[in-house]
Amino acid sequence: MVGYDLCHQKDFDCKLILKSKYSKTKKILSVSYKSLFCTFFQIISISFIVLDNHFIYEAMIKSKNYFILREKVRSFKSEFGIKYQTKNNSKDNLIMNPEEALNLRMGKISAAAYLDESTIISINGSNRLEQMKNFLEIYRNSSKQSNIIILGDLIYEFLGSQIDTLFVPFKTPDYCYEFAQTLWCQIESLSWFVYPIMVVIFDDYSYELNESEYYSIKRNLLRVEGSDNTLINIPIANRNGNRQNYYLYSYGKEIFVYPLSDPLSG
Amino acid sequence: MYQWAFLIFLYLIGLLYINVLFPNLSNNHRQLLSPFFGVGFSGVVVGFLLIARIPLSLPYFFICLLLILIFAKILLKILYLHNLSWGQLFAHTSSNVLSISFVLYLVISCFFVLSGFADASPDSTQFEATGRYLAQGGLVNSSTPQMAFMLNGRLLIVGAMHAMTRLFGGYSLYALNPTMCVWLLLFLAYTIFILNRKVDNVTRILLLLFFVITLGFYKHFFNGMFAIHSNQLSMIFFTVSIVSLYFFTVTEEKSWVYIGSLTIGFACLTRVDMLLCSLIFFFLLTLIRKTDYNMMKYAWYIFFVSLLPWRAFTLYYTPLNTWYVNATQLYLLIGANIILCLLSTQLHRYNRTPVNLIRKSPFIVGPIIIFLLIFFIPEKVELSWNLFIKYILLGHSTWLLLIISLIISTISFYYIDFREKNYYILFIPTGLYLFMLFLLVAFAGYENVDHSASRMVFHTVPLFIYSLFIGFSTAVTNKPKTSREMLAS
Repeated sequence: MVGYDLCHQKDFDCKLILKSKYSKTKKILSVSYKSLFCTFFQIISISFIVLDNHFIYEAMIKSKNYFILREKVRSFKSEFGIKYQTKNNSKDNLIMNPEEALNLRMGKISAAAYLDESTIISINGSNRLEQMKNFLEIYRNSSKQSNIIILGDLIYEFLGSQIDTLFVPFKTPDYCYEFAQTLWCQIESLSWFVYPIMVVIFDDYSYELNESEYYSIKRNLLRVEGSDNTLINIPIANRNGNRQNYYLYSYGKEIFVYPLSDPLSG
Repeated sequence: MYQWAFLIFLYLIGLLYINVLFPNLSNNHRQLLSPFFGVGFSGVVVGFLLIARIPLSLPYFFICLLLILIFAKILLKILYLHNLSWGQLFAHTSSNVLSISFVLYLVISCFFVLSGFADASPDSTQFEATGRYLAQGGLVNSSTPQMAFMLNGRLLIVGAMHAMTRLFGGYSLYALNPTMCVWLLLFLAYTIFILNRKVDNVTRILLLLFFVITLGFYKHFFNGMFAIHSNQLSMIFFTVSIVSLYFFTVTEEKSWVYIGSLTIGFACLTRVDMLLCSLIFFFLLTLIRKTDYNMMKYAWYIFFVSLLPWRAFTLYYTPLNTWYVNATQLYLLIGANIILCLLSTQLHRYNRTPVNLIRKSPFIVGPIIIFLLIFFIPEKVELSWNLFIKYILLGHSTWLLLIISLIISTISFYYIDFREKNYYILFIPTGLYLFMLFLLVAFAGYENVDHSASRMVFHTVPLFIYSLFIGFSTAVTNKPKTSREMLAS
């Protein structure tokens, strides 16, 4: 087999042509240098994408070498002035520990959360329970906004035909409201979730329960765990009753949706 | 299983629409595009009902869906484009249903419904809330809290999909995005297979599998497809629109331009910032030599008819001063599209399109814009440089390897572009889009680690990886050839 170069002046494209030793007129392989050069760079480009593969990444981040490499890249970036550390001012970073965040994403923690299954089956049936469980597994602990939609979902699902107006004491100019030991963000989502129930921000009632009120109110309730171990309690109402106003109460990590502005009067 | 029924409905309704609008496309292409059309047209119908102030319900939805279909059919008949009878149409669609493609779709969608896996973010709660609001009879009115944000940030298409899931009896929507992303992967893989007809079958299949593994398991694509957000559908519509343009250059079939124009319209209905991507789409359409005046005109008509009614409606409810997208920003985005429309149609009207100059214009105009910005508003450029380049692209958000890949592939771009002139259509949008994101962060940026620009880079991922594979297959074949030759069998 013999080989030689052939350069075309027009496109400066050099070719390496290999000819058969026995049949010199038959070209068996023609390789363009430019084409080789170009193919090489395309392969390198694709290789970087392949390296950024989900499974390689998941395997890598558990190894020490990854952290060593990451530190080297960071120091390289610092040296060349391309490192930038922004203020961690996101309102949505509920879980700051990356390991914990990963566990949550994979559903390892949320799956164990409390859900009053037998009561839900007796009210809405097992099919609805399965769908609801799936909804809770997706949203529970996903962000600071998840509590508000879990509350909205429960209200619409179990009290949708019972409530005319829901009074909530979330009177704050801020994005989030701390209600006893629980956190509620993006309050507007609650109005959207429970529509056509009216949601009114109103704090002229004693929404923080004392111990006697807590034990008085805590009867015949459906209990579901929201985000950050918040327990949401809603009354199992007569679904054919008249619409009335409901109020939101809190006690420690528990919140209650209740039809009276004075829980002891019930 | 209600959600599965909804996903199947999207495929079937998309198939019906695509059979009416583009009967001349091959059966495989129609099948592969149908779920995307189903999503797009379902969203348009929800938008139509909201504009008409009709509360969303299944009967009204189906009536409206049928009315739009009849209108489209009559319009095509008047324009002498296609004349398929209703009998032919339903026979055509019914026969399409009994296909491998449909069975594959059933399996994929069923898998994602049963797996129940989804990744919820703070924004997901608002998409879900918007869907519940509409499904429970909510209409657009100023008294609803944060209506402007709901209109411009959470509607139309993704919010509409959540609402429709509820109307179909589902609890919450989570399987749509992974199903559509995997379907996009199959669509792109199929087009790679088609475009390399001259290569032997074993190589074609290996190339196809390599592409599926590379894109399918790419970290951001693999994880991103499970997220409940609008970025996934925007990415799909944007990718389909640009690939359609490329297919037009390959097949010279005008339908691909109109498909691209319709899907970029759907992208703009999915996210308001996709109005920047429509500029890229029509910029590329302008520089295709085969584009004529009529084609350009109809492409813009389709885009504006699908987009403007909804955007005009949302503008009415969008104040000039609001924390999310405000009216001025909307006017600017729509205005930029109208200006490009006037320029591109006039250039084609008088056959005065300086194609070579337009092709080079991003390399000339881009640096000029940057220079002017540095001169007049250096603090904005600094913010964008720090936040978008340093932090999002090269830092925390781990786009680093993609950017390295983009830089390396630029080296071979000149050569591949010489071999395959239309490679420009696939490769340039990524660069243009990142440049636009840089400008977007400069003008509308705020210092936050959860900046949406980080998620928006995702929109261009499939297109970039697709361009790498088309470039690779062009590079390994020796002789300079046109797209036409590549397809010729």
